[in-house]
Amino acid sequence: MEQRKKTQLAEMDRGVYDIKNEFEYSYIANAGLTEEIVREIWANKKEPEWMLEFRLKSLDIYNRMGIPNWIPDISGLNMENIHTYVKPKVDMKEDWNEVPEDIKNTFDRLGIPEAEKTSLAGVGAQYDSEVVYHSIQEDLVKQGVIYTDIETALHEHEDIVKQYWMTLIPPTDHKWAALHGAVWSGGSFVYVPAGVQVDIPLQSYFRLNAPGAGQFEHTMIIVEEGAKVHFIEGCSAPKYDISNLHAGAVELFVKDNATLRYSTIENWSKNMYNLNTKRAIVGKGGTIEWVSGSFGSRVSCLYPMSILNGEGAHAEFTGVTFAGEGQFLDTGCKVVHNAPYTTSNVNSKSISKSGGAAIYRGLLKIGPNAEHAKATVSCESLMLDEISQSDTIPAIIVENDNVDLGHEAKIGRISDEAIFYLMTRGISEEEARAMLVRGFVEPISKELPLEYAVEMNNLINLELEGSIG
Amino acid sequence: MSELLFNELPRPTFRWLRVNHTPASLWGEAEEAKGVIVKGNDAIIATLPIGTALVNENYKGANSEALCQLIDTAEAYRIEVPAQAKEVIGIRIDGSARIASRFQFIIGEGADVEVQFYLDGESKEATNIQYLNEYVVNADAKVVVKKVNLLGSTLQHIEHRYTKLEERADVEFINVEVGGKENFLHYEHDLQGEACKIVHDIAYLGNKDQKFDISMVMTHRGKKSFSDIHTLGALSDRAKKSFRGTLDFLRGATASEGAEEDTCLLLDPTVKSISLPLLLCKEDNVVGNHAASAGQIDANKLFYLMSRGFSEVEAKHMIVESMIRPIIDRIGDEVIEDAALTAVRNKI
Repeated sequence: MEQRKKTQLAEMDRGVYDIKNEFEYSYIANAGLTEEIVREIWANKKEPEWMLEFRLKSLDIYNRMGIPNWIPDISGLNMENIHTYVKPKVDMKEDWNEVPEDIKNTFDRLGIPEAEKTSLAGVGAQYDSEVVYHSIQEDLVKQGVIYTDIETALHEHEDIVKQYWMTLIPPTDHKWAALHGAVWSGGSFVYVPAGVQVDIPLQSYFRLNAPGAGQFEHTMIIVEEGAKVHFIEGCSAPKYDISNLHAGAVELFVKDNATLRYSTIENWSKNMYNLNTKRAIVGKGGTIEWVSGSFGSRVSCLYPMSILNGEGAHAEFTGVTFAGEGQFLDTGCKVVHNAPYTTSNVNSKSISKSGGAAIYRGLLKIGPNAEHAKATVSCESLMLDEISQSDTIPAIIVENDNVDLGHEAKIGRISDEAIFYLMTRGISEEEARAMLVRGFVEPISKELPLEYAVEMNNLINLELEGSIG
Repeated sequence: MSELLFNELPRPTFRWLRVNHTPASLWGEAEEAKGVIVKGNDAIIATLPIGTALVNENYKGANSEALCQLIDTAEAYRIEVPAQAKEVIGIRIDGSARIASRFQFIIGEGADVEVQFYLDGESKEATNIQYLNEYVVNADAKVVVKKVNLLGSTLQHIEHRYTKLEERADVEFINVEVGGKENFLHYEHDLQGEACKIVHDIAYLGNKDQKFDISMVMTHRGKKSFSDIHTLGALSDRAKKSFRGTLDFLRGATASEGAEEDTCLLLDPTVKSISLPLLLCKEDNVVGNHAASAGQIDANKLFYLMSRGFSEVEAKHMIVESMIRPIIDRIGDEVIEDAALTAVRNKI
């Protein structure tokens, strides 16, 4: 009888994601978090004075704030061991040929330059704490579209950045927002002028290579009236034996009748604590669409939030979470209806296996002014074995009578009958299970750009490999 | 007594929402409480010494401090139904004065028991009606508990209820909650035995500044255990409802099924409805479902009734009553059903 292969997490080969480069840098902050380190980061980046004030104020808030009592155990994360700023050995380039060979190879293996040639209107690539490559198609520049790294934006478009900076995610929001405010570095800035339709997506990829480091990139996207853009975000890191931290912030400003689609596949290594915050505010008739895949990290706390402030604004959230051995992925989304005739649809799927824990945590709030609001939430969880965990923790708050709201959730496992049927058709048990899992997440994968859908299917295959027997 | 935290969510969520618990103080003075009548077979009804330990010492109730104080002061009854016996117990709670009571039901194997709770009356001053129900339902026993709350608007009503179900135990709880100004209902049902079953239906109707704060935890431990929670109701004026429902499937509860559904009809723009239907799962071979909905009266139903000659107000009355009535009809006592229906009609 053929011996079945049983993959253990420790030995799992995550392919291109796990290839480490030699740890090289031009500057590294000491481990830990002190005022001196914050001042060093600020000085290193030659930022305006108001940003130092902001950073120090955020540090003060961080020191005074406690860790929320509802999040998963993060005792394995010790800020005293985290390097909050690691500047790579290269400045930002606009030509891949000028990027050092090992860093370029990393992004080559992740398929970024190839995707840029075939299907993207602009690309940003961040390596550790700084953006190393940025480009945008010329015709978009002519239309007034700005797509650059956040540091360049802070110098060249300071008035816009200052106007919006951490207004959606204030440092007082929670401890990791305060940490972000103090030590942020890197990230992307997108500005789409009124009426401009960016038909081809923009993509930023965040790669953390340094062991024991934190990545705190800040993404700010402003989509003016009637404009439209699709932004794709990718994240990955190789696995180390020590903890890494990701505490990014994404602030999205969707003006009247504008549309923004924000797609993400997070594929952090399983030593990563991913405490990320994403938030969008949407004006009259505007639309925010979130497509989110959470696969990696040891612990994730990620709940993209949509604040529907304009009449007729709409939010769409499509998300999938896959938790394997040793992972505790606490994910979900928040929608706040603040205006009449606002609508939202949430469709969340989660899978847990090999002792992993997948938690859906959500909020649907319909405020007193959101008359005629309509909202639907659907959560489905699949457990692939008896040692895993799957929880659904939604909060639904309704503060006016003229609403139409529906929420559904279900938990279950792959039906034995479905596996049996596929096996009678000559398909192995392992492939049958993989097919059914792929079918389960199909509504999500069809919303992703093709290369990300392929990546997601590869990740599912990787996670399921050897899981039978 | 200082402010207490009632009905804490078993797994807290975002703090800024302020939904993880409900802060409140206990109303009224802690004077001696009387006003409970227990009717039934005297041979099975006994008093329970003050301070007797809980059936489940880990049970915290709606608030652990309030529960501890209740255990130390409550007039308590122990109702022990022998195996295979068939009994009907009636409990009347008169809300004209403060109540602190405890009822411990031990239901023998294969017994068949019906318990009717009827709460009414009103005190002149704001006070507190608080009681604890504990049910140990042994193998193959069947229990139906029907509760009608028509308490007056000066009363704070706190019910703690713990149930332990053994193999093949079959429990049905029916609540009609119309009265009381501030209602804290805490139900924890422990499905320990294989193939045990529990259904808990709650109908509520709130107006003015009424509050219904409901917490329900179904803990599935036994294989093939089954639970079903169904809350439905309507709110008008400034009434507020919080529903914290938890289906908790523990490892080993193989082939169990659980469902919870919370439906709330919103009749005024100033009402508030909070729903937290949690599904916690550590066992893969289970089926767990929850659903929550909130909205106005269906415009099509309203239009149909008005096209048949009813005024808008009459049509709305009919729709609300028709939603709650199927639960009232299951009380099975004509006098109590009529009293409940009258209370419902007066409130709509």
